[in-house]
Amino acid sequence: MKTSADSAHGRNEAMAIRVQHMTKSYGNAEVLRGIDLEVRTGEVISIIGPSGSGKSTLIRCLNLLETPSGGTVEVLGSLLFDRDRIAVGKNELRDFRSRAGMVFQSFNLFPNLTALENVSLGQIHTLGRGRAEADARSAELLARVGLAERMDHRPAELSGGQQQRVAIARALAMDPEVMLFDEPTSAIDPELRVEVLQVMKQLADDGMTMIVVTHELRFAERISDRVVFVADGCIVESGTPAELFGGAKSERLRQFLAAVEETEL
Amino acid sequence: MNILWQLLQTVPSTMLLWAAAQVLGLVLAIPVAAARMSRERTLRWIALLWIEVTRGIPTLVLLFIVYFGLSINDFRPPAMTAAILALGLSSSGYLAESIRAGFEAVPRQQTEAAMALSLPLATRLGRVLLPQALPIISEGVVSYAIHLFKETALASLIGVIEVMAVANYLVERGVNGPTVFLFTGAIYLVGCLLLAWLAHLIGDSGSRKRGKTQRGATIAAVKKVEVA
Repeated sequence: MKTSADSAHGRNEAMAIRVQHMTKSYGNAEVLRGIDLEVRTGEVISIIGPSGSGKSTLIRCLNLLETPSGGTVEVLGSLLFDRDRIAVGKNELRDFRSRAGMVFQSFNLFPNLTALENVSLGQIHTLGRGRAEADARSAELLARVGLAERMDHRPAELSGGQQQRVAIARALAMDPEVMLFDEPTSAIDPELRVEVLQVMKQLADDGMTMIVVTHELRFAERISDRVVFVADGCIVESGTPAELFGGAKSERLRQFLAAVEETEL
Repeated sequence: MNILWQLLQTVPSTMLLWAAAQVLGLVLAIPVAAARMSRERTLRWIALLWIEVTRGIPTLVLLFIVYFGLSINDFRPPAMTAAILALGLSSSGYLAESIRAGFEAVPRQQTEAAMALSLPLATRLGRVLLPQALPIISEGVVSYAIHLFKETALASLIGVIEVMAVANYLVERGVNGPTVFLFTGAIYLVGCLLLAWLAHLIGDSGSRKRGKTQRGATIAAVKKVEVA
């Protein structure tokens, strides 16, 4: 029989991310002014909003690449940040980061290593897998993102779309429980974006918990369970894609959507 | 021809001084560079002091400070040892700055990517940052090595028997000055050209292995840092 404490605990575990009143300032500039966000396990969340609205800062605070200035951040059951300080030790933070995959706007592959080596490096040195096992897993992942033929190429010999797919494979190789995407297609030629978006769509369909900061509104509409609109460091509006794109409640979001539509003509 | 032969006979001693000072300089530069990039303010400050002092004092003055500083009462340190020490010291500041410039040229995002993968520090340094910093570090090290080769001539002033000392000796013995020093200059020139050529060979094979584009990009980045 389930007690109420059990079910409360169960709810807790199903919550992948819980952010409360998170703020971030650089000196006098307030970039985030009190963000509240909850993401359930298996949920796909897109964060949209104008440039400079704090979207990237928000996602970078989720694995403490940026240290928030206030509030609490709880991810995958670890309380990472509590009010004014990082609440985890170095080892705990390392362990946590290996469970949260991050994909960057500028790919950030290691240019001195081949695609395969890029994907294997973390498996070998962080997870302690043997080289053969790691390379086998890397090859499998690279094949999954459509790069079986390019495993021995260095990043400089790959297109942006290909590099980003390697970066996704590199993050997946750590067997993460949540994937953070920071504008994954913004630095890629429009024609090549679709190959990255397809990989992400597949990942979403497979049930991965995903947070995606993106400017691709149609893509956000298609893959997200929920869309969050951020402007001026606040979450202005959030809801299902239909709610946000169908009938924006706030004037700010209407403006934003109208402006985007205009540029897409 | 006899002059040239006498000069050439001391080339090994010049080479020894050069190589030993270079190695000592590097050995000292690594911890200094690490301290310079440390998060600890005190360490950074000590490193900066070291760099400014060793770079700011003329090598000749440093040579005299070391040689006469180590001379206590009737004791005189071996001239070669003092010269290696002084040249090594004066190299260490420059080399530490080369190492720092190399690491700072690696984009910050590389560290972030390594952190996102939770790579241990040794892997982050050894497999990610150092391989990318190395082309730039080696450029600094090579250009300083060539400079240092010429600076070894200073050691003649505290009595190290190397090429320049023999040249002075020959002139004092009445051999025609311009001829002797032309030969001497030629020896140093050939040495420098050989070093540059060697470095070029090594660098070339290295950049083929790494892929030229990356190297070009990193060097462009370092130029930007230097300008700023």
